Formats: sequence, C-alpha cells, structure tokens
Amino acid sequence: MSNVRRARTNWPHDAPPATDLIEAARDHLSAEAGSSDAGRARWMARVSANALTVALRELESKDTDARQHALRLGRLGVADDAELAEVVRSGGFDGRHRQLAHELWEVTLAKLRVANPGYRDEALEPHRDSVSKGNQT
Amino acid sequence: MSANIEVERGLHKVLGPVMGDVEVTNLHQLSAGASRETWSFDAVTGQGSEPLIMQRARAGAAPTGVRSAEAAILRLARDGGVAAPEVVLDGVGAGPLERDFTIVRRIDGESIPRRILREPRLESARNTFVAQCARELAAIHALDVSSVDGLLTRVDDPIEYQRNVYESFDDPHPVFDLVFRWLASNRPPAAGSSVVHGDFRLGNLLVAESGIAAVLDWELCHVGDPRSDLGWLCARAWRFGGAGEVAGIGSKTELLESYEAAGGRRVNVDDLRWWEVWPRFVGGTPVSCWSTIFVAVALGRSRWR
Repeated sequence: MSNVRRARTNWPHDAPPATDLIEAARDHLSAEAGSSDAGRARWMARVSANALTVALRELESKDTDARQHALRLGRLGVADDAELAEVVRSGGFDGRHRQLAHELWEVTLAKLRVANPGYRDEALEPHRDSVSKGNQT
Repeated sequence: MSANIEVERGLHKVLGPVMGDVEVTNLHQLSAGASRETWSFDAVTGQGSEPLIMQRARAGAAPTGVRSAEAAILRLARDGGVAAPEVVLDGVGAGPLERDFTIVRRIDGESIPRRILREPRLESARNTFVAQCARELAAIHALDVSSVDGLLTRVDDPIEYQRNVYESFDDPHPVFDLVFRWLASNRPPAAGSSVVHGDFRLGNLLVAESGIAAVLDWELCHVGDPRSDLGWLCARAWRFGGAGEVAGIGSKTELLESYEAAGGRRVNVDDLRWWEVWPRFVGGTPVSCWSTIFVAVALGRSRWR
C-alpha cells in the first residue's frame, strides 16, 4: 500500500477516486488468492467487480461531468463547490431556491450515474412527481 | 497464513486464564470491515467446544477504549432483554491480541442481507421481521441512560453533530449544506434522549429461521434521539433491492405501530422522514450517504425553504 496521502476530494465525483477503487480491487483479489473460504472469496470477487465497474463509469464520464459542473457553478455565480457550500450555508440562495435545487438535483443525478445508476433511475420517478406537485402550488 | 497463527496465539493467551487448558480450533476471519476485523473460532476444553467470535480494531486503528465500551453496552443490552451477543471476555490496549478486542459467544444465523431478503427458508422470519425490529429497538431505547454515563457519546443536537462530521472532511458538497438547511427548518420537536444503537439495519442483524437471533455491531451506539434508529432502518441504502420501506421487507406503518405496542414512543411518519434525511457519514466519506441525498432531493425541491 502506498503511503502517499491522497486529497479527499475527487471533483466532480466523490471519494474514493478511480485509482483507489482499482487499487482496492487489486488488493481484494490478491487476498482472495490466499483465502480458502469459498463464500468469502465469492464476496470479495463481487466487491472487486463492482468497484471496477464504478471506476470505469467514472473514467468514461469524468471529463464531460467536469465541464457540465463548471457550467452549473457559473450559472449559480460561484467559483467552486467550496464557495457554493458557503453561500448555501449562510442562506445566500434562499431567494433563488428553485434554481439552486434544480442545479443540485442535476449534480446528484450526475454523481449517481457513476456511483449507482440504479438509484438514479429510481430517483427520477419521485422527482417528476415532486416537480409537478411543486408547479401546482 | 501468519496472521492466523498470531491471532491463534493471542487467543490462547487471553483465554487461558479464564478457560484453563484450552485449544483454539477452526480459526478463520469472517470479515474485514472499515474499522475492525471479525474472527470465528472454537475454544476446546475438557468440558467441550465453545463456538466464539472475536472482534478487534483493525491494524493501524489507535486504541480508543471503544471496544471496551461496546462490551459494557452489550452486557447492559442483554440484561435489558435485547438480543445482544453474550460477552465472554474483552480487553483494551496492547495485550496478546495487540489491540482492543471483544470475545462473544457465536450465534447461528444469517447476516448477509440479500440472503435474508430472498432465501425461502427465512420466509417466516421475514414475516415477523419488522415487528421484531420494533421490539428490539423499543428494548434498546428503554435501557437506562444513566447507567451508560460517560461510556457513550451524547448527541444532543443531531444537526450540529453531523454538520461537524461533514465539515471535518473539508470536502464541500453543497447538497449537504442544503440538506442541513432543510433539516433546521423542518425539525420535529425533541423527543428526549435514549440509548441509540446507531447502526440498526440489515447487515448488522443475525436472522435465523425463528427470527432475529442477534443485534450486532454496537460500535456506533450513543445517547441521542431514539427516532434516528427508526429512520436509519428505513434508509434506501439498506434495502438491498427489497421492495419494502423498512429494510426492504416491511412497511413504516407496521414498524411504528409495533414500536409503540412494544413500549416505544409514538412517532409519526413525517418525523420518521426527517430522520431518514438526517445524513450519516459512515466510513468517513459521503459515499454511503447517497440514500440521504436521494431522499432529501426527492422530498421535493419546492419544499426546501
């Protein structure tokens, strides 16, 4: 294992970054080679395969996601996530709530597309409901 | 493997004084979680064979005394009628097992969520699962808070508590800042403090054909709002593909009604929802929090004021 301390952020996605995922998968597979317990080996193989799948989705979409995220931040008038977080926290978006919520919703979907597409598909249904209800009020 | 030999020697050394002439057999590692290791083994003496489990902090984790607190909590919970594992021995610090450890009696049951949700032999256990969860939680929440004084973290302000955890990462996620604003303006009235398990969900429950055999993994146990355990049990992340709102198995209505029938307080569904949205940064990153974001955002963008 490397002793190099990696930055926590993996902008615009979340930790752990693809390199860590691939490293983890490799470590799991190495450990599996030394294990005689079939159930444990199967579980490790599955975790490893999932990690690699997420890593590959991230690598495929990272450049596009980064560009789109930069555009979103521009529309919201902030330089980066740190500034956006600070403004949200201090109530600076309370008057532009719908715009903020829309952009953060898109951020969430983009992250889910990489981290857990199943959640994303599921999330889209209640989202449509809440939008239509929101428009009626 | 050399790790096994070291653990076997360590177990032999700590068990000797309590069990006498003892042999450690069938030693194997069950899992390596983020913060600790779980080992299964049998302690064979002249009187027979004892099936046991040893858990200890993972290598590199500083001795914190948490394991010892957990052993005390397990004893208290068991005395209070909770299906907690029976502690045989525990130790803190750099002894023969190198780090803090707890040894408990091994209980037969299934802990793998997908099997609990699908295996035909566990059908009747699934039918009673939600009501049993409600009973276990009501029993945990009825434990005497004063008897754990000083042992457990107190979470008096759940928003502030998780906000501090979030900010300690120094990794800004604006959606969480919005979630915290939503939580602050939609907060249900306080419900008093209880012993809270902190991680009561599929994966930490041992299920046998007769139902819940044991409530495991008490390392996040704290004193706080008992409704947080109910919300966590309903979190999207812990349904493992099951359709039910509660652990992929049952309904919130059944959970809340059974909880009240078992002596828990009355909780309404809106308050439960607030606790589902309450973020939990398990494992040091927000990755395990997708369900929170998902629920929070799906709650309706128009309701965030």
